[in-house]
Amino acid sequence: MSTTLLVFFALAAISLLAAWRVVTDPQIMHAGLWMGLCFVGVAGIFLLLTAEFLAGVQILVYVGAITTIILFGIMLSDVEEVQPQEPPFYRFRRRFGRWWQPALPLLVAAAFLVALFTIYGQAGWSDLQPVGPAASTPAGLDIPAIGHALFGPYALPAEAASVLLLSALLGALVLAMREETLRVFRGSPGSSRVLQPGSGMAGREVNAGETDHPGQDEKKEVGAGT
Amino acid sequence: MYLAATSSLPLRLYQWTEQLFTDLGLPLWLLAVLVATVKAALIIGFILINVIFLIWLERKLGGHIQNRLGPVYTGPFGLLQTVADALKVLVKEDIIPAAADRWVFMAAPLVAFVPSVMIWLVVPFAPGVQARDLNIGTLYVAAMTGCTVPALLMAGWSSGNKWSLLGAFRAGAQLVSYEVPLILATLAVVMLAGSLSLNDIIRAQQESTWFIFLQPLGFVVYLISAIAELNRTPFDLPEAESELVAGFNTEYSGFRFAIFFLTEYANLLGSSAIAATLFLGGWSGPFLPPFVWFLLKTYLFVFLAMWIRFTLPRLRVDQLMNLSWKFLLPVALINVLGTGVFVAL
Repeated sequence: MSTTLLVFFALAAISLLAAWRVVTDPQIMHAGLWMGLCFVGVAGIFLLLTAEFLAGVQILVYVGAITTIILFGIMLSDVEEVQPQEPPFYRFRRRFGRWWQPALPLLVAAAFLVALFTIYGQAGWSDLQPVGPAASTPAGLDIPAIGHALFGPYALPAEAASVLLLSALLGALVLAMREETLRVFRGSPGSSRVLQPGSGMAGREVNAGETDHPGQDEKKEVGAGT
Repeated sequence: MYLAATSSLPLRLYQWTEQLFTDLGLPLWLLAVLVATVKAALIIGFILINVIFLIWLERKLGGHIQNRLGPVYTGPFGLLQTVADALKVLVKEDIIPAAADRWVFMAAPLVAFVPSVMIWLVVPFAPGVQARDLNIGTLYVAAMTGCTVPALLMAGWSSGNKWSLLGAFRAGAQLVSYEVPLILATLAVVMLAGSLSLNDIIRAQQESTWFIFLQPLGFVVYLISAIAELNRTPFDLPEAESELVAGFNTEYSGFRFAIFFLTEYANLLGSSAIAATLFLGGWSGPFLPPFVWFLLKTYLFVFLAMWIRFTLPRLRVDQLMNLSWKFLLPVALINVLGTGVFVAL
């Protein structure tokens, strides 16, 4: 077994374990941290494929930005606020829940697998060239080529993705606005009121009247809330 | 193996070791592991020695700026004060609060420390003396800098303390905000050099001139953002002692606190080295050896950061956000646009 293969298996194991913990960890903050580790593992696999640029972007965007934003979001959001009063498709689930609940994800996963195999089957696995240290140029991955691709043939998809992100940003802004702020924009009376600080923070409640160390009860509450 | 292209001593040492390995019949991957370990040890040694000096320098400079003397008793000019403090902090108890999230709390200092060392992988100390000349050098530095934020969030959240949590919030918001102008300022330099590699950037500066003259705006944006990224006064809101005790590291003690402290100064040194490379031509310079030039330029930035720290008062949170999003970001974007036009002409 070559060293590269060993390293690959180690990285794959880390990524898979982390990914598994993301969906199974009862503490949502830990799930976010596991997600960061999963991204780091994937970046390592990119490095193994000598896709240095992708690995750098993976760390910069996924670990440095996305994980941070998600952790930040978890810390800022009130767990009780996030819990919906009535889960989506409540009636549907109550009627078909028993047997349908495990079947549906399996069905979707199977359909996705079939779709993937169809797509990759068309291209042909054998056509894909193995990208090893020998195959790459001495300068590693060609960064200008990525730039030309992004601003040339793939300009439209890239722009579409940015517009999507921008709309998500604006949507988050609207959702984050509290009634008081909205009233400022509408110009209704009472608009001069000072904004209340965030109603609560998941995991760690910060209230002036409380003790410094929230007790065990609160911890349990958070676990249950997630 | 990229170890020494021009400086002959490390290269000869490497060739001698390689010969020894082939003579003894040892596998070559062991040699690779050995070389990597030696490089890592050298870099960590360099960081530790410099951090010890930096902490002394910060206290001494701060003292003289505020018309005091700074440390004077331990060793000549108080030089051994940091050593004494480090020893003291190492023998202290490692307290983990009852309300803390144990594993996250214990891991956070290490997660913060690792990127601050990993930045040094691509820093060119002198021609050919560089652990690895990655062709994504500046991107790599930006990626590693970004990894500090989750560590600070981990530290603040896991402490189970409201000051820590508030410090982590501030750290997260501040670091994410200032990363954008920082990367844009770096991008302008990359556009001028036409390469992400730090060696190529130095070479481009040798051919034209130091990028501080071509990028004065970018330099100012970089300097402000870098100081904000380092959580130093006037941007030290995440650990503002007058309101938050010590921010995200309130609950840390002993060795783990020392690691945070070490990380802070290692990041200061790392950012200064990168700034010297990007804007002042790195190790290039006349008369003196390249390594001396590298140290001089790095310490110029260190001095600048310390000078600013002891001169300016702390900003308010809203001023902090306004400065980043409403001033630095537009200026950085205009700078990138202008550089693009300049390069295209």
